[in-house]
Amino acid sequence: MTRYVLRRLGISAVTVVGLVLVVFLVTRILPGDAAAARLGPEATAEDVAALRDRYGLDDPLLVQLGDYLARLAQGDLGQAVSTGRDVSTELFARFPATIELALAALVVALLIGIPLGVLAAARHGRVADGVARVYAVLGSSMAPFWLGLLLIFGLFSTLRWLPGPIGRLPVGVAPPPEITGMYVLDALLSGDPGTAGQALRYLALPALTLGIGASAAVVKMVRSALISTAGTGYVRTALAFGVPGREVLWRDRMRNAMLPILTSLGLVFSFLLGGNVIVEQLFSWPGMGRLAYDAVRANDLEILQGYAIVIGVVYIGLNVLIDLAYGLIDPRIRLGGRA
Amino acid sequence: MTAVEAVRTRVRRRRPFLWTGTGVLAVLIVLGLVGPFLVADPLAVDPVHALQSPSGAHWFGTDYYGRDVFARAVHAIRLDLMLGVSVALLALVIGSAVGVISGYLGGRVDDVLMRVTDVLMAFPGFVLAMILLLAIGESTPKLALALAVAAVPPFVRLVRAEALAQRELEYVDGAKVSGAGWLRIAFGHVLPNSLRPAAVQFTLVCGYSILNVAGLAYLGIGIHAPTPEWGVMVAEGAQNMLTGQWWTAFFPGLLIALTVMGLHFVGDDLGGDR
Repeated sequence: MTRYVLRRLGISAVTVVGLVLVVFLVTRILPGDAAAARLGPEATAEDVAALRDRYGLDDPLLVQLGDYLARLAQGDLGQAVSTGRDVSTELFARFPATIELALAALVVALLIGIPLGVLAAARHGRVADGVARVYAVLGSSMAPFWLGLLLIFGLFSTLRWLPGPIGRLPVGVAPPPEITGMYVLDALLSGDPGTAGQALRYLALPALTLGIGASAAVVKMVRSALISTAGTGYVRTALAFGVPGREVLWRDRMRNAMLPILTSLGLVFSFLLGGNVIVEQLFSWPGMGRLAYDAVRANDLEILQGYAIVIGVVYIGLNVLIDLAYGLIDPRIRLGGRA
Repeated sequence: MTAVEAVRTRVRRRRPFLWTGTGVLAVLIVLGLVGPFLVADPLAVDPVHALQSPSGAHWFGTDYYGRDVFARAVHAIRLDLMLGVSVALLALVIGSAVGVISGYLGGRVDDVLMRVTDVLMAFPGFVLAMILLLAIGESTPKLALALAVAAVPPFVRLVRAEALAQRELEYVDGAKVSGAGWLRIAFGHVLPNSLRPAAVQFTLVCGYSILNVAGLAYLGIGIHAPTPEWGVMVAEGAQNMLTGQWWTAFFPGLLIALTVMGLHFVGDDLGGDR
């Protein structure tokens, strides 16, 4: 097991280095002129030259890369061109808001996706299965910004059940004392259920928007993983011994379907992390995605490259966790020591 | 053919998902080709008739500038479909070329190419396309290129996996014996036999690409207002949604959903998921 863990961590360390290299290449070299792209079409030649000088863009590439890596190793992602602020600090301050939203969306996705996927597999080929499949296709076909607008229109503008897209708390309500940075959790921890309830209501719409989109992928993977266990020897044997079908489904088939389900969770994470720019913009959610959106508006590649690295590292980290969870779930991997 | 086989074939022939998907796409393509000649000017501003709800004169209503939402939505079909198809085509071409080289040659080359693919897969595709596009500067061809790069990894993996199996087969030995070089064997013989899984992926990538084009346009990247494009239209109509004029953003978003749904229905069916 130790060897398996070490090997997996080694591979992901290589991927992280590659990720940093790609971000560096994309933002420094590819454009032909990063400075010109950054300043926009109205910049004069002198402006561009000044900026190139300030960011060391005229240094040899290897020198630039060395500087960049040295700074990165100290957790320094540079200064935002548009605001002059420290990119690492800005991203770090907004990290909890993004994580809170992603976790809530994941809960929504699993709460909808797992029961619907199991239902589809249990009723394979029948009406319930068809409904679940149509749901899965519809869920992945709707643009998140459109789904978000529909939810806002229905649940806020028309029905007034949930608050509008104005951020994490109503205007004038003080955020709870910072413990994790996730408002719902912090408010509960500091014994303030009123604020927790409000934060939860503000969290609901963006979490539903991201979660419904992600639930489509969950339905698909749970369904197909369970269906592929249908004709296997152990299922036939259990049924022949008179074990009720429901019990076989939840105890034996579900367990064996866990590996493919876990693997495809990577897809869900990709959706949650990639979709957050759009959803955070739509709901004025002050997370990293919103920062990236502002950076896009201001043409600030410095912030965007920091954002890309953080998202990439989080994504790689989550996939490592998934792989390690394999070992916990499947003794063949744990004991065999193969990756 | 035995009786059981006959029944199976009949069941397999009834493929509601495939036919629904093909039908939706066919209607869209016809509308995209013919529509622009029949509907109103998508850019004609008419402030007197701004924000009118759907009616006989304006099927999808009018937007904030009094432009006809139906005309704009129909004009957008061609752009959005063309972008979706060209992104997927580009990604298929790049991805299958890299995949077949990686799978056929194996060894060190394979190791390096797969690590690079891993790195590209370490980003959510949307984020990768976003920073790529902002770095290389915006234009429609560059938009297609940036999205294609982000969509390459799954094609590489699918074609490589198939090429790994194909290169062990006898026809490859036959080609070698007859004196063909590795490039010719890889691209002329192994590639055509390794394309099937990637071809199935193709329609799905078309769908994702349309969503990504619209998503980027919504954020103000790639395609810009006043171009009639579905993402741009939803972004323009977002404010109206809050004040009750739901039609400006609803219809273009609905067309995105219908198009992507059609592509996914076809892709799921061809992928053997029935």
